[in-house]
Amino acid sequence: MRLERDLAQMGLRAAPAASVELAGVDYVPAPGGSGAQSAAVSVARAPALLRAGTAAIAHGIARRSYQMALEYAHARQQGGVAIIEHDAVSDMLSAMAVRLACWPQITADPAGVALEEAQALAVKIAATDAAVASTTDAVQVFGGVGYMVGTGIEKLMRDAKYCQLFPEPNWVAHNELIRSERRPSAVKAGAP
Amino acid sequence: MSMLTATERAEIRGMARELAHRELAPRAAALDAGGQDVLAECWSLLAELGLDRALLDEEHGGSGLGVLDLLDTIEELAVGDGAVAMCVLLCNAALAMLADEQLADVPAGARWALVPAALGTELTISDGQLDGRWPVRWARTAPTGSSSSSTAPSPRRRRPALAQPA
Repeated sequence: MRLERDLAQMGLRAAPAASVELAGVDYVPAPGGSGAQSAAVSVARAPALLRAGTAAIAHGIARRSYQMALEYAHARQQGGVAIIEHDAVSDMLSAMAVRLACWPQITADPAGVALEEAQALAVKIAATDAAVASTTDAVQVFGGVGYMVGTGIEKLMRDAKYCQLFPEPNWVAHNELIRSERRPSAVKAGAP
Repeated sequence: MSMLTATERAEIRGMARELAHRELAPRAAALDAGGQDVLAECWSLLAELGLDRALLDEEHGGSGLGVLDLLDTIEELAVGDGAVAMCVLLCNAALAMLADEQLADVPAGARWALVPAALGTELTISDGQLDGRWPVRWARTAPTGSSSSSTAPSPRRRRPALAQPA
């Protein structure tokens, strides 16, 4: 097995991606067939776990961007008032707050629908799109300073973009979602 | 599903929030610079709290968290640094794929990654070093019924994220 680090990433740089090449590998079948019996997730649910987890990461990034933008908007003075008093800025902050409020609270669902394939895809798409929109707004709230490396706000935008592309780009996720919706067995009862 | 009480779940979430605020956020710029030594520092803190194998039960060195508890935790960690949260997600997903017999061979505190060799059709679990040769430890298939030739990566260029082992 040979691994080669990919080109430098735009975001989530501490979790570097790599290309994997398998050659001359002895395949050793794993004992058992369903993953750790001691774990709370089965092998079949692993892709859904990755998608729901990516959604959770995106939401965390969006929360951080909102916190930073809100704090900055109160502190930064322009035209004699804090910039949060300007409608253009408060509108962006409001949009960010709305996106956070629309987080589907997957983790509050005791039935664990987050690990249903279609639900995980939908949540991943919604959360990562929202995170990219909110972190972009956050950079805008910071103005020219936000474009500078070192404030930390532009990093959040880059990190959020990674989530839109992992474990698959969202346009692929849309395709997967619709395909899974066509299979009645993959759709949780009661889902639209 | 989690066997934890609501109080225990809240405590774990609070612990992750505190860790993100106190340890991860101040290191976010260094992590963004790709500092694997900084990530190793963070990882040791996470491993001390059992978050590297949170989905496993205590008998296997885990924390016994349910999936939803893990998602809560990952969200809080991502407020501090998204890349660290991603490493936690990948490591937990990888370890959860191993059979109980295999877990006995997994060194404590190591960082593992889940590699969708052909996304949606196979999950390969391995450890080793980037920019070098890795021993393949285990492989396991996981049918998802959602892949197709038009969307799966080519077998030559197999991606997503890999975390380096500690």
